[in-house]
Amino acid sequence: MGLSSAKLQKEQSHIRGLLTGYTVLVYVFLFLPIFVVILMSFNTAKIGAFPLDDFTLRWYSELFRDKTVWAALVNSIIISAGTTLLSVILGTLGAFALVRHQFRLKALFTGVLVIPLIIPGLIIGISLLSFYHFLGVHPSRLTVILGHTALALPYTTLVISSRLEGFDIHLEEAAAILGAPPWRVFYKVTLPVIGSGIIAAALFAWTISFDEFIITFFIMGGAKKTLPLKIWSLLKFGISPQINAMSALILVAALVLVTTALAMLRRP
Amino acid sequence: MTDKRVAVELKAVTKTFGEVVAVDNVGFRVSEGEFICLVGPSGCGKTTTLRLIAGFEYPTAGEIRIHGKDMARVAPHRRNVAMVFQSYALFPHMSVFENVAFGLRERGIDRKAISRKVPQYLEMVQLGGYQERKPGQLSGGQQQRVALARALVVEPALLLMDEPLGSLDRKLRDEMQLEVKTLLDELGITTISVTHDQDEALVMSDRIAVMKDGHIEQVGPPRDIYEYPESVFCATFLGISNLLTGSLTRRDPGRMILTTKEGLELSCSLPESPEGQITLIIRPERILVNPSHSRENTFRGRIESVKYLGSEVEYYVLLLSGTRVVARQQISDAQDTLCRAGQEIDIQLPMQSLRLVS
Ligand SMILES: Nc1ncnc2c1ncn2[C@@H]1O[C@H](COP(=O)(O)OP(=O)(O)OP(=O)(O)O)[C@@H](O)[C@H]1O
Ligand SMILES: [Mg+2]
Repeated sequence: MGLSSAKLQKEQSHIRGLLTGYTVLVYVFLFLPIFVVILMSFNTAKIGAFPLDDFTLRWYSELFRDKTVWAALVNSIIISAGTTLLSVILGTLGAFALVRHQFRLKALFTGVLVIPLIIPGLIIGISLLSFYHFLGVHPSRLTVILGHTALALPYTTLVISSRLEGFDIHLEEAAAILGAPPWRVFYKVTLPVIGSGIIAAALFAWTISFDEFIITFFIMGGAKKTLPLKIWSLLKFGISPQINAMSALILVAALVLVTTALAMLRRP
Repeated sequence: MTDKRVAVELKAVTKTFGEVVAVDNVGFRVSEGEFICLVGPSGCGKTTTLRLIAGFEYPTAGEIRIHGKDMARVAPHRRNVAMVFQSYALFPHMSVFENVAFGLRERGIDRKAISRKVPQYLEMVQLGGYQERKPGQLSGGQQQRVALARALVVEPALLLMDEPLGSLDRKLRDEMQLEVKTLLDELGITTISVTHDQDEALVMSDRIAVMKDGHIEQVGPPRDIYEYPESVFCATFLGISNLLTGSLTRRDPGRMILTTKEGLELSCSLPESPEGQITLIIRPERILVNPSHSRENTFRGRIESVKYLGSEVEYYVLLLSGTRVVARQQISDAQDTLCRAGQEIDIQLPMQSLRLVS
């Protein structure tokens, strides 16, 4: 008994070692390229290659001096803000409908909602392009916002509904019976309690929109580039240190936002 | 009671959820300042009745009046009713102070009055130092007391409580029962309370309404319900009762004889002499054990088991006729000798303690 349990323990520690090694490999595979991009963005050499030369912030300062980059950034921010606002409002309304009400075809509605998650972006891009063409609508920030909202809406709706599922409906009743009219109940009780879920949904929506490339590429095409489109157009001249710098910045912003969103979701 | 104003009146209220009839033709009145308890087994419609009065549900049929006013078109926030929920329903994002202040703020009470009243009511429920805590940092019992303070502080016209003391331990519950009752009497707040706990119902209520399957079996003061239950259900729901079922074999006025299925012959004196099967009940504490003068209705039996309850003892007795009864005896002195299982004893079922139920 004693012997065999010692053996078992040894075997288990082997398995543990293997698992640890495997996990490390996966993370290296995932994050090494990203790490390299960040590293290169601080490298003096114009061509990204090892060994590294000297440390520099030159590419960043060049980036900030480039007016077209700033224009793309402003453009991205406007589009992300619009997408976030729209998809959070629609997502909140949808979540209330899904969680609080029974209606026919509810299962269908829920199913349809997640379809954008599995349709390739290319297909959505092409569909939207031909749809707008059919309507005779010219590509603009608004059409991009609508396209991004279609993409972000499943996330916002699902995140907010899961928060709403856990919401004790008695809280609203308690507030009502204490004298609060419906809008006060929503403002003073429902919103604060599900608020962290809504903020998380907003951060997700922002990140999705800010990083989106394919759909934007199809609909926007023309002059008003978003940051990812700007990167794409710079890429025609090969990978430059400016691109690395821009990628690093976008990456850090996305990381911060998503981490904040996850922290929000973990709040009670 | 008749001279008091009616605070709440339910007239033939019915509520169905699809196939389920949760509340079935319920009608009762509550006078101003009265404390009425709804008791009954799980799922009998107690919570639903409260929710109808609060306005969270609308009756399928019937009418609810508060201070004479029909509530059919009145939203919960306009009813001036307060409620203590079975699940407390404290606002998790607010401190204890803010929870209690909520109703006052919604009523537009000024800040000064709020900062005076909130601590006063928290003091009342013995939570003086807890103002800044969040509900998540309180025990179940403490949360329940915050919920109570939050409801009381608005001095509502009507207070609804759904198992308000359900999660408190025995000792705290006993204390709180009297405290809450005194407090409500002082404030003169009309109260409808729901409880599983029969002691709580007996201690706190002016009247008790016993519910079963959505309807009301009997309404009356605790003592009436306990002493004169109208049905087997009421007799067994509040306290223990011995049931003796049989038919009358002699029906002289003033002296009748009930012969049970097992052949036990009981003298009794009933206000009426119904035909067919009838049931008499007797409370365990009314049964005399080894009476000094054995008179009518004294039977020999063997103790099957003994249940020691501290201040009392219960004997489970099998009579020679085959009838089983429970007798309860006060233990008044440490030297009292208790009977043991297996022992033969005489027990007497006094005639005046036998009650006819339907
Ligand atoms: N919203 C609802 N939808 C469907 N059925 C319901 C609903 N609310 C209550 N019921 C049903 O109505 C009946 C009465 O429920 P209620 O909650 O009033 O019981 P209760 O007496 O409060 O029970 P407990 O002592 O367990 O709290 C139950 O059969 C319950 O299943
Ligand atoms: Mg209940």
